[in-house]
Amino acid sequence: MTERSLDDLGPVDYLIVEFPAGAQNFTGEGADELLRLHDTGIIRIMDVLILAKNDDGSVEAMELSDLPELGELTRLEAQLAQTLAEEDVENLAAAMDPGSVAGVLVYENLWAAPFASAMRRAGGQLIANGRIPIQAIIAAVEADAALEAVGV
Amino acid sequence: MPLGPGRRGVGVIGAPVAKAAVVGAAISPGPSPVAKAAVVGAAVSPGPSPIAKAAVVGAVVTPGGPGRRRF
Repeated sequence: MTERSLDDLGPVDYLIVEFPAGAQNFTGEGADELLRLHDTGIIRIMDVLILAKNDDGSVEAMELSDLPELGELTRLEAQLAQTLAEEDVENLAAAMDPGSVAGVLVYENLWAAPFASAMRRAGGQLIANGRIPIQAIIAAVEADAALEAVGV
Repeated sequence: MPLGPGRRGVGVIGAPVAKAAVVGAAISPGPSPVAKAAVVGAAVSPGPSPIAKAAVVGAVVTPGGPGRRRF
């Protein structure tokens, strides 16, 4: 990978996708889509962990390399930066339900890097960001429609 | 399964993670304390912005309409 300065880095996010017990249907589709995002330069995958939370609340953490069948994900393994430390595992697993399995992903938003750098050069600093659930937007729009219907 | 030596050191998450809200209850009515974030958005797309609604809930909201804001 080409050497990049810290100022060129895009925002780094993490996400945890939980697969509840009894609702796990792994077909490889998710891995394909993840690789597509990585290969097209939209994101750079920095780290991946697989967590399993037992019924007693204990947590097992696995590397990609611990999985029996990696398939195309093998390509990613050599590029991971191991951003997450062992002490992160418990914090991450706090959001999981017992019996569930979760994939933890840390990724750089390459698509946002030039804009973020430009904002920094202009003196800007990020003071807040977040994600609005689509369900929340739909609920708000529906609530507005309901208010309009009663003339408020 | 214990993680390897590459996983030692200081963590980056910092605190227990809370499960994200999945339903619309996450929305808080009224002026938002994170309104400053809109400044960045304004720099990206000048003018009234139906963008998010149009992109995400395209079938529900008509772009170019009066919008939801009542300031």
